[in-house]
Amino acid sequence: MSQSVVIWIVIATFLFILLVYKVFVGKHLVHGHRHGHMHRFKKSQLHVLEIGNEREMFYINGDANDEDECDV
Amino acid sequence: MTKTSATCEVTPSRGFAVSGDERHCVAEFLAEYASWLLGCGATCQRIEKNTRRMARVFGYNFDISIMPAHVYVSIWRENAAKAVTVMHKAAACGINFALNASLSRLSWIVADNGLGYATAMCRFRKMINVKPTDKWEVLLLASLANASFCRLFGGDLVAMAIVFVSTCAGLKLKQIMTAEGRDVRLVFLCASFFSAAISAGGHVFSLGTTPEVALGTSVLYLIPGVPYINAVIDMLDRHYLCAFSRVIDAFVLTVCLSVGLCAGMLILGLKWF
Repeated sequence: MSQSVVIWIVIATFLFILLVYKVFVGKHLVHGHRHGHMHRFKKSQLHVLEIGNEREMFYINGDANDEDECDV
Repeated sequence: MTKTSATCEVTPSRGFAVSGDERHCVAEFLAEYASWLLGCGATCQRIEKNTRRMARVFGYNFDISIMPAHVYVSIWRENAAKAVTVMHKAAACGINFALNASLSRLSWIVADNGLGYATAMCRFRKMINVKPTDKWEVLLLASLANASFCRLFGGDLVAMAIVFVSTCAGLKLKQIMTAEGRDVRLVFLCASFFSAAISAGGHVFSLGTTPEVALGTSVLYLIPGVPYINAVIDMLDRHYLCAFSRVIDAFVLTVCLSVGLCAGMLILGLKWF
């Protein structure tokens, strides 16, 4: 098996797992959150790597609300 | 200048009564209308014409200043020195031709039927609250369209199938990342990288007779065509500031998708020429 084939399989598998997780598992988590099961999952979740969004970067501790009305 | 959070409330239960100073309410409505047109991808010329058409029906003189991310609307009756000016930020609704058309239609309905401010506002609210097209529908149609592009550029059926799958995967990733609020440039880079890498499967596994067409057309769905076209129209209409803003925005996105495409080719060891 050539190097290109191995790299292609790794990329395709990664994308497939990511999409399946986001589309199906993510939806299940949101559903669970609505029924009050999210809290238990959050405690056991291990964040090895996380990409922050703009709101998190500009959040300042002590702000009255972490919901900025400009964030639409 | 009036801030946009004026107390303008249309109350249908009381026969479309308008609370507060009517001039402020009309100015705010026109500014919000213009901001939605700007946000959904209308050209400056269209924004100006549509808004002026409605202001004339409401009985006001009108002027508008369109900036890349904001609009300023001024209305007055006789004395321009007593104009009410309202600024509004461009609506973050994304390019939406259906909304663009329906908002334009609203201005003609107002002009043809002489509708009042309150009725126009009511119809405007209904229009902007319409549910957007289903994401899965967009995914399917965009993938089919991109596969058709592949055919137009001479791709065979295998290449079309590869483009369909790679577009599906890349566009779904784009939808997910956009919904999560990721930076649009990162979204374009990731989507183009994965689409290019998936479509490079044609080369890697020697599928079909035109794998290079599949690779080239796999990222076409990301080309920001509307901003490019609008930029040219705005430039012809001498709205240079908006034109340059749109063209730079589109150029940055094009660079991001090119970087993603090149990265995909580089990682998979494909020849560039």
